[in-house]
Amino acid sequence: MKSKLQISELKNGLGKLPKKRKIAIAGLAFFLICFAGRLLTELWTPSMLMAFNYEEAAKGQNPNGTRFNESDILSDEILEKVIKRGDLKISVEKLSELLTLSTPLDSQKLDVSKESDLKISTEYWIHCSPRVSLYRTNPKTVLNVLVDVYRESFTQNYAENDSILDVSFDNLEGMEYLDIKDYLEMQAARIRDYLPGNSNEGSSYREEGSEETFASLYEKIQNYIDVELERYGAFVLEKGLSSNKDTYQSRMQYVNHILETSRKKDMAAHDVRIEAIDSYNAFMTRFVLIPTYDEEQEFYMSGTKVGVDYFADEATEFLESATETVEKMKRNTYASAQIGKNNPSGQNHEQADQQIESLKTELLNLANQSRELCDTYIEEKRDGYMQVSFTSPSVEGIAISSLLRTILFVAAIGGLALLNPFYRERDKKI
Amino acid sequence: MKELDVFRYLKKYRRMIVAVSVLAGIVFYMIAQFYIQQYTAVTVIEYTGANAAEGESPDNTPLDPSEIYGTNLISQAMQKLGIEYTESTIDDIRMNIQAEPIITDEDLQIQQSKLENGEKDYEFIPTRFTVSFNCGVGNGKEYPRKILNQILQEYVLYYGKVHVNTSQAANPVSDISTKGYDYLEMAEVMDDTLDEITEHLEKKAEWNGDFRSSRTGRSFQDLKNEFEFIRDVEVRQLLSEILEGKVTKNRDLLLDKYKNRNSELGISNDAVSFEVDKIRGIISSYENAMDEFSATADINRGNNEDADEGTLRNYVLPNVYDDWNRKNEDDNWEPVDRTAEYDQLMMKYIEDRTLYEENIIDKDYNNYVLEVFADAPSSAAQKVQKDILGKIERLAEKINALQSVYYETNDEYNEYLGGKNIAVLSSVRVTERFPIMIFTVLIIVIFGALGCAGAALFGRVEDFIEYYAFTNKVDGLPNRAKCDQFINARSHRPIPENFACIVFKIANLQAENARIGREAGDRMIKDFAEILTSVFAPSEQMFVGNNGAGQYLIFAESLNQEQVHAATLQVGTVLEEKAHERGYHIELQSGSSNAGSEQCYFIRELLSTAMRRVR
Repeated sequence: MKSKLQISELKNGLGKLPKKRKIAIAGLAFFLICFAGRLLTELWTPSMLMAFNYEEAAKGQNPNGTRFNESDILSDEILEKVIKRGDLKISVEKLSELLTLSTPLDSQKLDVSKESDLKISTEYWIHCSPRVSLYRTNPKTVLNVLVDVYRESFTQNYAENDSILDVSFDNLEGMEYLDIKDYLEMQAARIRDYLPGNSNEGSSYREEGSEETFASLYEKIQNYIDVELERYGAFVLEKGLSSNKDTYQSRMQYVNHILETSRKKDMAAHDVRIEAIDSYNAFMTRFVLIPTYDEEQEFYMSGTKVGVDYFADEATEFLESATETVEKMKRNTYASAQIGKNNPSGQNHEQADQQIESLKTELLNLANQSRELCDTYIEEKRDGYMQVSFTSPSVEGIAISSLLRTILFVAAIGGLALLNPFYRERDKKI
Repeated sequence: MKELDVFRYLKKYRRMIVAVSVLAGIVFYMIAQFYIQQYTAVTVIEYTGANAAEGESPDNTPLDPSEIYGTNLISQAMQKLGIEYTESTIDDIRMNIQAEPIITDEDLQIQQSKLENGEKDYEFIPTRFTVSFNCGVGNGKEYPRKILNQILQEYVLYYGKVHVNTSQAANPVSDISTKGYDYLEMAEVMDDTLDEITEHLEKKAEWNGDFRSSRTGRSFQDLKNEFEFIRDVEVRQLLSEILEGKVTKNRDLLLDKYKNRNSELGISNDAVSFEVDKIRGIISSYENAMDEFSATADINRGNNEDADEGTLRNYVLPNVYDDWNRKNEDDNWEPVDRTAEYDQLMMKYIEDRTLYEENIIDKDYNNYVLEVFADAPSSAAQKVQKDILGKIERLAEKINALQSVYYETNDEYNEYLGGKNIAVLSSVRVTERFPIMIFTVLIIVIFGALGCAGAALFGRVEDFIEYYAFTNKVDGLPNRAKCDQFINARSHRPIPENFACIVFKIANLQAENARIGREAGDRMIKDFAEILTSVFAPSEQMFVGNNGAGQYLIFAESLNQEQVHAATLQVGTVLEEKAHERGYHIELQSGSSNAGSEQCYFIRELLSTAMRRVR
């Protein structure tokens, strides 16, 4: 009752006010409502800017060169993880409806005839509707969890993966001494081959407080293969070390049998081609000169390639292959003979085992150094792949926008107030 | 009749015009926004492969952007996005995707000038395409972006797989232990498989040494080394153990198989040696024929230039350039094989001879196996068999696990190749196809304008009706029918507290008519009506009418007893002055009643009261 009275008193009070003051008060009220409404909304539901700052982002690619798909950010797979991690009481479909993604380019019409219009956005706005609060959470929490989940997924699927530097020695159990050398060589080569990718781009890169560069690490690993593994191999061969002499010799024998088959095939292919070249009638190559340009764009008469050229190339390849095979066979024969003729002592085995342990430690050390250098390099180069920031409401912006709305509002009610006397005048005349 | 005054009509119908315009705007906006509006997702792609400018994919098939909306890709995209067929069908999506070539004015100018300069066959081949997808707004703004992105994702993968990286090593080892092979055969299959895989990976590592998968962390070189190590150490160890231990499930069956292989090789070699002999014959005949042409040319040289020229034609490959003018079934130019007939014969000869020699070597290997197993027991001891089978299964598992890593790496490689060969030039933009808000404003404006015109027309028509049906022609006031209409409209609801009813009557009208004439009498009535309407100005709050029985009725929404009294006095005073001026005499009677004073809230009763008081 009291409030009704107060309202009616207020009405009466306002009614007595002159028109200009009434309009001013209405305008001020309108402005304050707009301003406060926008400010509170933006404080409660800030938008999140996800900026991708790696080099390939500007080409619309992921760091691994595959196509970048921004819709992945709000994919069902990611949202499922967000719900799980944030312990949200909401379905994927509902959450998907509450999240929107946009780019600054969405507001620009694409004109394909203009080269300057063809742009790739590296920034994405993600907005979470305030309606998410109905599910006992708030927009900022959801966006924070979303960033964490997406960053993990992005790193796992598209970023540099250095798992190749995880050196494992589980397979060495029961392995032949010479096979251990090959295995360690393979592992070392994996680490070495991982480095050049980084080395080409940042050959001079050096971690702070360290003397190590990619080039120096590359050299170290190469030395490990060429010197340390070689020395170990020489020791094993010299002493004729084997876990199981008979099995190893039997294997070498079989391998050589296979290699011999392969060699015979290569040589047969080689011989057939030589035979073809010998029987190729020289007369058939007389008229295959054609006018053409050389690499320096000079005009000259070129002999086209004829069958014999190809046959000769192929014969050479087969011969090379057969030569390699013969070399492998010789090595196998030598290894088998060394293991067969020597009778190594227990001390030799111990020495070999010690060398293996030392080689394993060295390789682990190299792998760790490589990982450390690569990690810091990638961290500096990629800077986390993406930067995330939340918008803080721009008071000036909101004030200006509210002011514009207020001007429109005041213009409308002012217009009505101006027209009223005009109508009254007309009424009187009628 | 009332004067034509548009503003009067506008004022009368202004609320209706505004309401109808705004309502039309709202209805249009709702319908347009939810049923007509469409979102358009658009992007630009460019084929960047080495042969793209010639309109070809890396596998030399023509570029075909329509593959983007192929059924298979749309179906895969729908599966990935979890779109059910009840939501949208493949054709719904396909029909709304467009891939249009981008041809700029510059491209057309180049084409024009090339054609003008005599390059008749020049044809501009676009490599840039806009790819767009339209859909309704029912599924939100994210939907078209997701659809287009996913379809392009599938296309890039498909392009890499089908047009660039067309080969993938097979893995017959996956279920090797369940196939009933003998142990030696199982080990041989594994060895052959690993041979093929390492060879295949070696080529891939050569082509793309820089590629390293983000998902597996492996490069093709890493995978090749791992497969190679398994083959060289573990598979070869297994093979030697099988041969050394002469391990077999069934010796006789194994020996029969290898004998049979030898027989097959023998048969093959018989056929091959027959073909080799025949090819030798053809080569010899061909050489003889060419010798004769040469001899003819030597004789003719120096004697007859024309003949010389004719002979020379035999030295060169005929119709080299004409041969280029060959189109395939897709209407595309394609180069022809220019290998000379002689070389083709020699190649066939080499192929057959090599096969013949290889068969002999394979036969030697088979003989070696036959020799090893000749004195083997008919079946190895169960324990030995179990051990070997266990080793085979473990090895097969290892190969399968590594093969899975290879497949995953290869899938990513296909995406990588797709991304390398199809560049994205513009991010996917999602825009509204129609500017609904502008249309809505236009609709409001149009409805407003139509409303104004309608109001003017309708108001004027109403004026006519009012004049002919509801106006007394003498005094210009609402007639009896209008008075009845007014009273009827108010008779069913109570009237307000200050509602007043006044009745005037000219008592001496007939006498004055007789005295001064009918025309002067009419003049008198008009004067009276004018005075009445000037004091009681008709409006929505005030009704002034003539009930046809010589009584003038005034209904005022808000007049108290004093105001009524004052107005009545004013009418009387003004009328008296007018009568004096005009020279006639009016005997005016009046009666009034006020709803509040009379405690009477129904118009008919109030009117009766006022009429009763007329004197």
